[in-house]
Amino acid sequence: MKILKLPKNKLDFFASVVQQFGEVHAPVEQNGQFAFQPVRRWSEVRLDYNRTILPPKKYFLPPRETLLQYAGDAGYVPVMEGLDKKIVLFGVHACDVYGLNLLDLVFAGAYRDPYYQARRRNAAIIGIECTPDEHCFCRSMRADFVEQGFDLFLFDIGDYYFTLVGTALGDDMVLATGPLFEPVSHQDVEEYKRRSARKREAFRLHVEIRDLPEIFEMEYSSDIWQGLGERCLSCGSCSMVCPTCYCYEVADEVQLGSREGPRARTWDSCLFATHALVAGGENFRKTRPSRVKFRFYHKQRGFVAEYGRPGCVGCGRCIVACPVKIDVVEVLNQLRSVQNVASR
Amino acid sequence: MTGCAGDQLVMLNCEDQLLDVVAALDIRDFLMASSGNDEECPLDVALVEGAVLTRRDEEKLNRVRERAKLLVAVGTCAVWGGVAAMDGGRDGDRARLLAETYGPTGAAYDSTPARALHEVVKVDFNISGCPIEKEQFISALSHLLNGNAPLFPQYPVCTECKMRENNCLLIEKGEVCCGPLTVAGCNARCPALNIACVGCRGPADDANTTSALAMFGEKGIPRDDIVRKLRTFAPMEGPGV
Amino acid sequence: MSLESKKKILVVDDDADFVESVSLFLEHNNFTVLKARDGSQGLKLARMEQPDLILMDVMMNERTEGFFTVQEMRRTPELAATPIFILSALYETQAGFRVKPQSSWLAHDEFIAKPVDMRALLEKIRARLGAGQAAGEG
Repeated sequence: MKILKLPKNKLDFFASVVQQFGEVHAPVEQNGQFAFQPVRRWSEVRLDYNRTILPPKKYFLPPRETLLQYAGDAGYVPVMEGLDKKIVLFGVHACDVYGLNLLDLVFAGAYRDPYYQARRRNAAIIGIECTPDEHCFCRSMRADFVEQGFDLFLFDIGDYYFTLVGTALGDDMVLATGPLFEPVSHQDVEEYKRRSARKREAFRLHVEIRDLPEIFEMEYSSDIWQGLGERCLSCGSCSMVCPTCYCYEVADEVQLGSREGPRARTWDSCLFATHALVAGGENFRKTRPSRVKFRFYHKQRGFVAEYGRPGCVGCGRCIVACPVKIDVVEVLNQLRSVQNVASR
Repeated sequence: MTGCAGDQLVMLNCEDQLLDVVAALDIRDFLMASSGNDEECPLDVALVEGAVLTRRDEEKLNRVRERAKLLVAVGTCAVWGGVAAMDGGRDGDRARLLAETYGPTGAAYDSTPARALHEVVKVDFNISGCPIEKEQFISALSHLLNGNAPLFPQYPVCTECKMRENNCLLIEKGEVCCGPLTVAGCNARCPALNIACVGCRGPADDANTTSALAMFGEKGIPRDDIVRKLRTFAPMEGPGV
Repeated sequence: MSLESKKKILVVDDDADFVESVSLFLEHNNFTVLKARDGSQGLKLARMEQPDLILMDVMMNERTEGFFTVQEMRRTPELAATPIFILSALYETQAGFRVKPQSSWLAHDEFIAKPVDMRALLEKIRARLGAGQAAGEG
């Protein structure tokens, strides 16, 4: 892998040049929180953010998306406009890159979703290193470092960004900027290693995941789910903000006075009462405790069975977003009968 | 029925689609929009706004129910009782309320405790909202014309807030936001403008009021304040709550 | 089409002297000139007035302001196809910032180094828009 460094004071130039690869989006502040937005001026960009309200999945699986227009007997026409727009996501954390890699397993693996894939193809990812806060546990989820899924990845080493080039596109980006990038020295590598080690020590939240699927099996009838079910508001927030929640609902609208219209998909959540409701009125998860249990089971165990690793990336967004403070790490540690662990 | 007619106003404000609506439907009885109304003819669909607040309302509603194959309750007042049914209007002493409001003549008024339509007649579909959303109205008509029930989100406003990446006023500012308990459909318009949700669309089917009350309690907000806020548009007891 | 027969050019630059001189020059050559002194003002004016061409400076309140203003303009449907010329001394004054001459940025149409050769600028503008007077229907 090619490794270079970019002077920090040239970052804005680099970001400007990178526009040729697509519309540049980066995290900006929004009333004390952060969100990925198209960049209006570079000074607004906050690469020191802890987490954005919504993960980058919003670019690839939008909250609402029209899939096709149907017209009775005439059949249907897929709606493909806007899918070829090129964007550059500047400043994606490792956990979120990891999250997108997981979504790829779902949408670009055995089941190929052309909408997701088109958007993915047209997006460049420039990752950036971060410092964990009190809700981050990506290290436990093995998502604190990614080897793939980015075109460039920037690591702060003081006056420079130590840069890993991940793809040919990343290489093109480096070449497009002329002599902005410099080769790294041995001291730079040492600084990178020092900071990496410091970051590893900075995590305050830990959870053991190795035998978690088995623990879930053993605790199938645990009382813990009843209490959580009584607390949960089924507000859907955790699913909306999760980088790897991908459940969606598909519904047809119909144009007034006709038999044609759009078919659209919108984000759904397994915490909703209607999620497991099927035609005929049967509901496989009628009670809230069963739904809360399902979400944990799917994320930390079911996903493992299907894809070989948990769906959770440890970004901490669900912990921050839950109005009744249901905390995934607390729950997992309770299942493990570990005492006195809180993320607050 | 008794209401502000805001929902009917939304229907008439369909602007671009008003001509389509009029073309698709044979509107026989629409007092707010027309002077030539047939108050006797049988109906395929009756769209009824407002809560039942008088004996006259009740009689009229019963007549409409008899005439119509389908009755759709339109607006939070019709679906839930609305502001007329808020705390004091229902539980309170009606006679005292009338006296306080109208003085000695109050006693002579035809005025009963406010009721949602479903408390008087069988209702086939609900379109809640204060006022209703234009899109939901058009969608409901479109689906009904095709013989289908309208499909509206049942999840709470929180979901729509997150879909549009709003800041959370409840968590970040500690405000009493009724979002977690209120049915979505408005695209979280108020929180997007930094105004906590007041619950005007009525409760979500699956709202967990008990937990929400406990949650607000933990924030040190007096229970009475919350209850009063939550009961502004819909009584807390009722179907689905 | 509007009754205006002259083509509209929007100049976005915080250098008042430069704006003055380029405006006079363009007006003399039968163009209508709109002026904005920074990116946000330029964006607002562009959306309102729909100019036929935009001259955009880069270093204004911040040194890459022009580039991101261009990005914002391209996100506005009415401005997506408006020719934008970037006028900047950036490459001369900022040591180490060179972009390969052949590389073309998707967002803007021309890059012109400052100090600007007015005649060359005029030629490029005319090549895009035709002469100052309207050439009938477009």
